[in-house]
Amino acid sequence: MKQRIKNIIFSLAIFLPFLSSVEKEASSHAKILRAQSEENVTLSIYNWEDYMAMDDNPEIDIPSLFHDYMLEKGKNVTIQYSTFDTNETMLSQLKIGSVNYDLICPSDYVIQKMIKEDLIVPFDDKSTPFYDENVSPFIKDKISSIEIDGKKGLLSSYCRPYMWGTLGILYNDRYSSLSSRGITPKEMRKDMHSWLSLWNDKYDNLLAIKDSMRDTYAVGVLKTYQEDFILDGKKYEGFSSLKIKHDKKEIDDETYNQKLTEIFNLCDDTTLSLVEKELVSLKKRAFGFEVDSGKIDMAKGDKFAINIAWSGDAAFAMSQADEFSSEKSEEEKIVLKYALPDTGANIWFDGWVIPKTSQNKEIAQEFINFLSQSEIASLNMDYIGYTPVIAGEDILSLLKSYYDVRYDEEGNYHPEYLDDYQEIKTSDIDSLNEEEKNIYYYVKDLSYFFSSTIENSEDAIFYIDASQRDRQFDTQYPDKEILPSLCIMNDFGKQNDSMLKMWERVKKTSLPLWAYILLLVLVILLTLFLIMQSIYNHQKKRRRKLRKMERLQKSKKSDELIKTLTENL
Amino acid sequence: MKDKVFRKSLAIPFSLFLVLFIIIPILFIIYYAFTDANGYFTLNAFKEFFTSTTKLNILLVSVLIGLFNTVLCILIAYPLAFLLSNPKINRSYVLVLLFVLPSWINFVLRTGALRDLLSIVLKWFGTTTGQHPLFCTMVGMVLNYLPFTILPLYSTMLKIDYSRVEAAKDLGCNPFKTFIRAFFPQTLPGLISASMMVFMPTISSYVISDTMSEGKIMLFGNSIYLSFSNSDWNSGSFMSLIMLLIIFIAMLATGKFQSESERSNKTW
Repeated sequence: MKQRIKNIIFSLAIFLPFLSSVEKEASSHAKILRAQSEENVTLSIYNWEDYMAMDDNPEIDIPSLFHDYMLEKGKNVTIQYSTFDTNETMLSQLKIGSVNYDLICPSDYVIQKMIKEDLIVPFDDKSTPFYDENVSPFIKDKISSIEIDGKKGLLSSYCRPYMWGTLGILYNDRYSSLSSRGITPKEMRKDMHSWLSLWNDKYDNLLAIKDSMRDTYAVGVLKTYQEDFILDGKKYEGFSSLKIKHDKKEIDDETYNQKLTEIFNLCDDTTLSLVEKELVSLKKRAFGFEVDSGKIDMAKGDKFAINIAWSGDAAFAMSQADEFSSEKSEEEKIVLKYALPDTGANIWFDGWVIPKTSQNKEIAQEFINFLSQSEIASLNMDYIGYTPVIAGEDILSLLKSYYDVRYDEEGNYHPEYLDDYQEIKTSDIDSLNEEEKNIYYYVKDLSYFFSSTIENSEDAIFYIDASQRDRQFDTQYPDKEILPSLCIMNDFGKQNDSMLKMWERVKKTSLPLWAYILLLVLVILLTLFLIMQSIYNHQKKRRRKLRKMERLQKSKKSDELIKTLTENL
Repeated sequence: MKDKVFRKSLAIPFSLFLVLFIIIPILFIIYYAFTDANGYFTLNAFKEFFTSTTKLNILLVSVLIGLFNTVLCILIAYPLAFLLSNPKINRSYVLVLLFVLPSWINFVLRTGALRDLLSIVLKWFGTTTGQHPLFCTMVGMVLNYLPFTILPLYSTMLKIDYSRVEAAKDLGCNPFKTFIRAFFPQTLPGLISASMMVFMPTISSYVISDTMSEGKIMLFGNSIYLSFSNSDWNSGSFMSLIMLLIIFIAMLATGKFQSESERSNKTW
């Protein structure tokens, strides 16, 4: 009896999932029937993992929102969504051509490569009106300034940027072993605004670097060319002397950025070998390499105190840390902060491109247009944590409801909230205690990002709680003052192979001498053993042979003896 | 006759699998190893590999770590398997199961958990996992491959003919000589299959070394992965070919031992 009940439960357990899927099928069947009169199209999208709002709740699920949006236009579009984890796998997948994608979302340098290799087609003019209206002027300028084969502006027609961010330093100024090393939080906050500190002895074994060639190379270049240098007979100014010049207003923002970008993108063989030396010494100092695990380790706060991080990951790690330590006491809380060294840092973006093989260019452009609505972009930002290139009223009000002290959580304006606060300059925040921070606010002007996409550019001025300095909001939107020092890193082109070799040399493990000796001894012993054995076997065989011969001779002799004996008889 | 045909047809599924997923991929590897990016024949990958001190160094490090891991695993597993195979000590299969059980958990998970555990332990000694990449990698490797060493050794030790051991004792061997002459030769097949199960996967593994050494130790598998992930398929394929070659050589070498020991088994 018991056995039978068990069987029934077991079979139920097996079949239940099928039953529910039948139900689901029925409901989706009804949807298809309704839309059958319209045109059926499948849009296949190839994107990074966790890089678009997709949820069981259809109100925040972009594919189903887009489906509804297109139904109104008389088209039944289903989205086929696949993901990749590195740009390079995506590129090789695309080159093999096993699957046709209509939209892909690679990083900036890969888009450059794809344009050079003629893998993608440009967007039609005015095909994405929402994008044209809502894209931040800052991003637009940055992208049109990128040169490909000496031509500017190619990128703005070939791609529609999606998310953007920076590469900076995520740090935990309350990490446990800092105090025993005699490093105060204040000192660390100051140090983290320079790449040189990563090479400082006092942060040995506290730092995790990116296990990614390009990002770590960027950090290496920023360190290597800090001072003035001569390369191939040409004199260059280093990052720090350029900054001094810029601070003195001897050069304007644009030339400053141009000069920085030029040095930042140096990748000739001399530079490579210089950077290699720096990276090898950085590797010795570092706790280790990581790509994905760093953000969680930082949030848990038990392995290392400094992590080179992309801004989106940094913001994610901060929120995670807040969540993990929500029940801890004020002193034990892990509060992560993000710094962009002011002598120069990397700015990056990921953008949508349409591969040449796409059959649905119209729909693909329609989709980009749909994504570029401020409302959808804010939904995306809320869901994945990265910063969209889209500005506009909806993003603005979302940010205000999150961070501005004058707004409540619903985004309603309450000027009276400001009565509890006093204004403070950003440079003075560091001298405050933790308790004091709660009564101060600082002003952050994001008009560089929002201007021309919102009606009143004064709306883009934020009043932020002083305790939020260097936290999520500052991570996602860098200060206006630091913008000229942010550089785009181009595709390395032909130097890519040398770069890969350099990276391999950095990553290889150099063995101590005894290991080589041990190996040599082992090999010698092994060969000796094999030789000895073969000699032994040989001898064995010979002895066997001899014995056989002896036996034969003996038997012959005895035969003869018998013969003679019998003959004699 | 009919029976023979039927029996042969039983091999069809596996031969299909063999051709589709083993032979054709190997042919692809060979193709990519000797062509350039445009598909023309070239020996570039060959030249590059044997002139690159980096790649040779990585191979050397991998072989060393592989050997080290094999020796460690066997040193731990051999006495353990002996204990487990002794019916007086191990009355049921449960104990064996306990040692094999960890291998049922996904090994990425296991490695991640071990990394966290190790970092807590090392913290007591005042250091971190990042400062001892080799130690941590070895711990990870040994823990991961131990079940694969215990099982073959255990199963050969179960089959051991103890009359030989008794005979050796009776004929006046001391315990050490008994072990060397009568016990050890009988466990040789298990020993060889155990070391094969450890040595090759260690060289090509990359998740364990990457996680446990915090990315500081690069094994041959990591190097191959790096080539492929940077769309340098040709040198990646060539390195995979080298890997295959090492497997082949190892098989030949162990095959020699195996056949000898089997022969000696047959004579008995």
